Amino acid sequence: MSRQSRRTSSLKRRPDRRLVSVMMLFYFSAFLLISFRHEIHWRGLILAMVVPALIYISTLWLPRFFPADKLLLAIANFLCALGVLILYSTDQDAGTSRGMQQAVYYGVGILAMLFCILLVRYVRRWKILIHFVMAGAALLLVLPLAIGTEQNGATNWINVGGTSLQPSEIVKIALLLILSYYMSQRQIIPWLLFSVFSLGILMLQQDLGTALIYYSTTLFLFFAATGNLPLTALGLLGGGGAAVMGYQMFAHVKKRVAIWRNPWIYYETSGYQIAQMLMAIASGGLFGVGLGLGAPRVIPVYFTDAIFAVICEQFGIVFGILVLAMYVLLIVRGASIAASARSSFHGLLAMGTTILLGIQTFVIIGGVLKLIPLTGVTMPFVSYGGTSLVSCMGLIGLLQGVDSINQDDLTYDYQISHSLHEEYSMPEA
Amino acid sequence: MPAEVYEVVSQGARYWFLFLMVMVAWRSYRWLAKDRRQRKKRLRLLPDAGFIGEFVVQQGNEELPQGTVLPVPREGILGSLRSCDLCIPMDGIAKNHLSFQYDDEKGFFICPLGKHSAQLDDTVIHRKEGKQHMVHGARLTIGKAVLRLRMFAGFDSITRASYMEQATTPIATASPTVALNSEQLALWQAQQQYWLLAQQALLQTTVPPQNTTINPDSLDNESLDTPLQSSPIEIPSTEDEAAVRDRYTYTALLTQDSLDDHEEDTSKDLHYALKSQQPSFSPFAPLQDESSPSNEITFPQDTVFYAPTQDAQDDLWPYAPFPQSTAEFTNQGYTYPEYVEPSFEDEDLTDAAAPPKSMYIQPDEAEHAKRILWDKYLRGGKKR
Repeated sequence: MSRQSRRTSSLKRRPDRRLVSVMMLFYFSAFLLISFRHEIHWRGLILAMVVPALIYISTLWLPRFFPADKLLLAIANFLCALGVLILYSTDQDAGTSRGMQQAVYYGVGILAMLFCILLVRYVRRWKILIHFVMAGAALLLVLPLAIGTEQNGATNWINVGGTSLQPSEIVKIALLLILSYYMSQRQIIPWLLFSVFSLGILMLQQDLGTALIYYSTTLFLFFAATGNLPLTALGLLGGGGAAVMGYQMFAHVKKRVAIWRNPWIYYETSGYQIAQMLMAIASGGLFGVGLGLGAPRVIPVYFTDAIFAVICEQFGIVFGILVLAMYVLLIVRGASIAASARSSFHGLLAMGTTILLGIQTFVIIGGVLKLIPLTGVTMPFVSYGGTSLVSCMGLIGLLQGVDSINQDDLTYDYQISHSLHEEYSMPEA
Repeated sequence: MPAEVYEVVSQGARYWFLFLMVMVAWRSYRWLAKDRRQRKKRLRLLPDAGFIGEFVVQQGNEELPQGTVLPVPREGILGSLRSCDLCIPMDGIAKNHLSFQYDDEKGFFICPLGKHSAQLDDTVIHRKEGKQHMVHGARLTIGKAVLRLRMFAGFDSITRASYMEQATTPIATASPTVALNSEQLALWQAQQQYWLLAQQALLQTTVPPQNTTINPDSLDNESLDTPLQSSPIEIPSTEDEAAVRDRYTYTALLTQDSLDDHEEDTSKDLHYALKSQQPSFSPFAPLQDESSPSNEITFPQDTVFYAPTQDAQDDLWPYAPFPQSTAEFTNQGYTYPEYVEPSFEDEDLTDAAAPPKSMYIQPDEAEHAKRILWDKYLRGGKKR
């Protein structure tokens, strides 16, 4: 066999390399194109080299040193890089540096992911540690009320050394650990108390989007743990009732619902963002207006809430559907990891992570497409936001930690089985 | 680049980016599907993956007749609900009756839920007493059902060790005993397997049980027929070794290296022992001492050894067989035990490498079982 045909056949049998090579080509060509938009932009050229290299290193080389699922890494890296690309493409006109900042946050996210992988893999006794996790999470949640700043109507940010942090994003990881541990131990009161406490704090902060995610995750994880359909249905009804109460109590909730029902009435005021998002998606059509073209900065907060609309405008609706397909693959992979776990704690942890990512994706995409009222949550991996990106990478780390344990168990079973067959075949009579 | 030129290039490039995105999504999907196929194949080669043994129904009913085998997962709920991990649809069993869990360091536990109770061997247990160890061969009576646990050998050793450590009254161990490390456990499982097959082949009732308690004071071949003790096997100290050796022929539980050196002797010993219907080998024989001649065996002084339990009323309660596979398995690039470049080729994961299906239910039995379940539960069967 010639060297060329050996190399080709080798590539054919390596889906990881094939996928990564396509991703690298995508981002190399995209950043190269965007760097030539006005004058030659050296940052764009650097990103054209660095981003594909980072994808290659983090997807193919990182698993050599840390137990990591390559497919999850590939999808997460792709989505993170997409966020960097979109932000960078809008940076040039806006004179901002969100793309570069997002790339830095991505590096921090990798560290968070590795931390979470090691945490899940090597911590086997959570009985004492979980109390510290609960205490720390409660403290983080309360901090914005004490020293927080208000942004976009919600008091859920704190300033640490000149950097804004959103503690509720970090507490997501703690929430999953707490729910998974106590549900696996069949102890209702601790996780129920913590859930009620965190929901109450989020309501006080008026961060209703995050409260919705917390509540939905808790409810669905409860169903996964117990299979109790009546109670789950009761919880859904309760959530619906709370939503109605929130509608009656909070004026901005009424406004959100009103602009969701008909944004064109409030086009020049509160409905402006939704209207612009819809027009951006429509103007992009099936194939988009082109990378770096269009008018994304017309959309208020285009870099966080409306980034999916910017993607659809520049790359097209078909591209947007394929991005959603990547999220679906991520969720399917997460569910598969959860189903393969051998302990209820790890299974619930993986399932909770998958549910949380799925719900968050649905909430933001649904809001952009006017399926549901728009909330202030971010699009996982893509939206601008350091805390959000770091917490999403941490969630991926939880999934990969569980997957690595699953692989270890299967490998051990195989080793036993194989050694039995090799060493002790029955002698002839 | 002029804006007009860029606009044209960008609008042309959008099809290129869309094409690449389609490739990314398609290849991600293909990778996911390939992984899933590989995993299914691997699990098919390891039907017992994730299980620690099985419950054998000693006393049941029409739906769950005696002799029914229920695989026991690592943790779960036992009850009468179909959604339970172990569904026992019998009178006296609550919907969620008790929970069970296997801990890698402490063994197998059960714990009744709520106000329910169960009987473990001769002891009635409740939730307030906490988790209870359950060892291989133990009987669990819940409602009108009696189940007996049959574990894979390695899993029981951990349970027994933990049980011994936590025993309120110390269990007398007069002489130094031997612990089994993971290598020895694997060899022990293999011997169990071999012994089970050999026993089936020989069908001799005079063959004494494998898990014989070696009592240095009554070292007679006839004494092997006496009721067995549920106590740790007391390995004689060095000075009694010669006396023991006169009465028993030990088959050394050798390490891999020593096995290579003495493979011929070992197989001959085993073969002779079986042929003469005096399988006098002890699976808990210690590692071979390099300084001693090939058949002389000494024990490390500071090790602990726990024998499997043996019910005096039964002839034998062997461990559940762990399936053997010839599949060449490579881990998917994880760092345990060492990083290996993942292989996506699945030529090795063929049906030929799967364990013999006779170890488990036959295909026609599976169809029969499915039909029964369908008739009972999905076509107006008894509701639970």
